[in-house]
Amino acid sequence: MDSTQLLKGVLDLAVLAVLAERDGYGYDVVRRLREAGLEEVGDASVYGTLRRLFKAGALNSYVVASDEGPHRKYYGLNDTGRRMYASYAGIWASFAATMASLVKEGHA
Amino acid sequence: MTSIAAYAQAVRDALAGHPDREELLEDLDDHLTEIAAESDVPLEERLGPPAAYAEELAAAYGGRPAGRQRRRLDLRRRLGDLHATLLRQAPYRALVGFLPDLRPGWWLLRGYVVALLVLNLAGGGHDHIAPVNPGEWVVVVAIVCASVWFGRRARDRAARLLAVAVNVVAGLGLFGGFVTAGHLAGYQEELQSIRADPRVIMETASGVDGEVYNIKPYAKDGTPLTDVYLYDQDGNPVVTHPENYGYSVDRSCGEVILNRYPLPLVADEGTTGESGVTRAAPCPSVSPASPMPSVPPTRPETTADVTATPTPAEENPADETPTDDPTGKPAATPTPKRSH
Repeated sequence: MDSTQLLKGVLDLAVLAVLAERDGYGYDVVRRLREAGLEEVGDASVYGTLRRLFKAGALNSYVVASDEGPHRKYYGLNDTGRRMYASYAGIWASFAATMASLVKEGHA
Repeated sequence: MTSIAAYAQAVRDALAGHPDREELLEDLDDHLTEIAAESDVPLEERLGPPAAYAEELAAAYGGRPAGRQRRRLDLRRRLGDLHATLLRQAPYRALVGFLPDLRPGWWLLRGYVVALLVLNLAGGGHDHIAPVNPGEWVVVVAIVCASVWFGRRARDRAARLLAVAVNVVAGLGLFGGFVTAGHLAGYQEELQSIRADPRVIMETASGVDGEVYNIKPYAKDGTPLTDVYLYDQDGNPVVTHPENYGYSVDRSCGEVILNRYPLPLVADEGTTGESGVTRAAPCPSVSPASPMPSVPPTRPETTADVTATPTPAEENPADETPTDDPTGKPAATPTPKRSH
């Protein structure tokens, strides 16, 4: 089983979680997800997810000038995004608990 | 920098058909620049080929394109299933087998319909269902030939789409043609019923405004004539339609013979302009012994003369003057004097 398959289903939640912590620009979000342990996350997947969440009205964005590189477009959660995050987090917690109890024996 | 631009362009090209492409790729360049700034390793190596990157991007973005395509495929699959099920039925199989034979006929019909559509549109909204002059025939033949040629040639995707579009237009045109033909048939029927009516209807043939609803005969010396019966060359009474001009026939003195002029007319309410109106005059004293004739009164003295010897037309074919009914009863169809 490939963890990228699992990641596909929870990437929205992962991105929302990262942005709930603090606002970030595209590549920053990728880097923080990898630092958190999701090393296989694809750059294009994160970028596409950010654009989709933005289009869905869950994120606000603003541009910050940068000295060393291009202007950075930062994304952050708005109220819709925060509600979405809370809802997804609840679903995930329940799902993860179910899966954890289900696979206990296999793990042993 | 150029490698970033090239990579971004390649991703854009790969997403050419995506409906939200601009929105999706809005800050792709900045994003790629950020990635490139972090390491000297080329983008292709770090992110994979642009096409794969574009595919992953579209998959993560999701939304309409994939969904719509899936729905369309679903519909196509369902239609395919239905077709397969129906193919097990012999009549449907026979119909499907027979349809290709109809194709050349459809090409001809399609060409004709498209040609007529073109001619009617070019002619400024006529509703011909057949060409009316040699020029139009040339156009029809040319478009029919083009339709057959188009039907026979090998089909690529674009040609198939065009064929579907042309077929739809031709189908609608054919329907429109049927409707027009129906109208024309109705018009013909109306004409037939008008022809079947033996009375002559005064068309707007003369007068200042071309409106004739009453006739005022005068004698050679200028004396106005009354009670003049008018018939056409076939012996049909000549009648006008004053009701179309805001007048009605005054029937206060009893039933009026509609081809006896001038007609006693009264203006309907709201009608202005009284010229040419014969006001309702005192009722003429009619002798009860002489009923009003509706046949040309060539010999009015005989109408009441019951002792006059009738002259049958068969015995004297040279005499074509109307024979009077010796009973004095108005004859429905007088034998007319044919002087064309």
